[in-house]
Amino acid sequence: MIEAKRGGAIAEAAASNIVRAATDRPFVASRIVEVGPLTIAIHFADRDLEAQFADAFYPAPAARVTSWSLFVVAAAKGEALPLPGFSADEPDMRLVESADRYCLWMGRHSPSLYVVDRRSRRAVCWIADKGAVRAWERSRPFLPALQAMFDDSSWLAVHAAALALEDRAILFAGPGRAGKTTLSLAGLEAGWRFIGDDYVLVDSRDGAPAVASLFATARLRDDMVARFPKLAGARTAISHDFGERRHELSLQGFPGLRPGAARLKRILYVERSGHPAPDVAPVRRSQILASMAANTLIATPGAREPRLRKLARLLTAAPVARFDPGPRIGDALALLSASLA
Amino acid sequence: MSDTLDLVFSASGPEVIFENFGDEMVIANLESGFFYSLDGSGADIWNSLLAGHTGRQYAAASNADVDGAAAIARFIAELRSEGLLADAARPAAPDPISVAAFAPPSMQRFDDLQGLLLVDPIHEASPAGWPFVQASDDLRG
Repeated sequence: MIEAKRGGAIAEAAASNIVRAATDRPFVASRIVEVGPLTIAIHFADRDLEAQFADAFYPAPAARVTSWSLFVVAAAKGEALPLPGFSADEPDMRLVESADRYCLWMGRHSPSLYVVDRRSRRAVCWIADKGAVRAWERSRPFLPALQAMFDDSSWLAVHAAALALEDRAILFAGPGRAGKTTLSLAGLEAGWRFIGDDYVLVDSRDGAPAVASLFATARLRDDMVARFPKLAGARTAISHDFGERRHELSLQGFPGLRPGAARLKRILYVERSGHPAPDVAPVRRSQILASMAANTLIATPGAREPRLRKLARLLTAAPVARFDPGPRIGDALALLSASLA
Repeated sequence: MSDTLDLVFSASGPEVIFENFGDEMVIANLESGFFYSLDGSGADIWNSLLAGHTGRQYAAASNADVDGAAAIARFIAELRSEGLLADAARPAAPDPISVAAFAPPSMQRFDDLQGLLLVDPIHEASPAGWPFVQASDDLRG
């Protein structure tokens, strides 16, 4: 549970008002999706919003009882968001949270206000300008709100990639450009079960660590496209974030993809150090913790202490190593496969 | 240095999180964004201090010599300067400690999170409202 902060009263009032204001609106479309252990009914206020976000998620099996409702609304032209005390021009992220409620304005990163009410199990994503939503947000929608939904569970969304063979998974940690996306998409093409290339869910329960998919998406830099010819048909758009051209992939329907948890057997810190062949070496857990925590805590602000404790618990629950994939990705996958046997 | 060895400390606040991984101790200062990995007898010293013992009591328990005691004092001073320890009241009867033989302590600092926090501040609410203006650290929630 999140400890109530001094801003808790503000969070309580702001969340109540914003959830009420959002859910009073009409909604034209709904999708029931599976995100790890949660079944979420996502309600879209218009078809544009549905088209932007819905296909990033795995559809839930029919007849699954929903555990959360998420309402996605966009401000009309000239309409001000119900931001308490500041305008939508505010560039920095602003956060208030209490034991049950969470409000986050994303500032310059995204024209979005996230509100999560764990008491009613309802959440809101209120977008100031739906034409200004960044490609990364369409690829992994509502991530801070999803993280807040998991705060009263043993699950945590983390900055990492993951692959599995049957139900045995490997988590790939490491900084950006370390090779996590390359490894995970090469695994997908080679018949592994792709769990994620950027953010995945981990369950830090003692004795039974697990990993599960958050999103059915991936993103390729220009220089990686030629390496993955089988994924050409999965491309939905080309985007330009932070001056970089990216190929947005929707992996829905790709053979071998499915949601659901896999048992976490290893955590590898991916780091290229010029080895001529795949190499496994010892690594400090502190290095993995510092790397994973940095991106995770920034991308999903809030509840830092309990989230960091979950991450630390995860690192005690599975063996860790440093992994240099070497120049031939097929050799790397062969070594990883052997390590899971 | 001798003063440092005779003081009693606690973790400086709820923003200081620590985890013992068995073969290494990690401390995170979520306020500053720095992470630390303790080497040598660093974990034993940290645990002893948080159990209410002084550095001098730890030095005696670990059979550290004079040079070792000086190294312990320097290590404690470093923990203080990083904002990880705060002065605390002397407990009536601290729990007994069991420590390994002394090995010179050191720590490694990781700045992955600190770098991101500098370019990407997250303002949290205070009793003064939302947005939070960081005028006084003691308002921080």
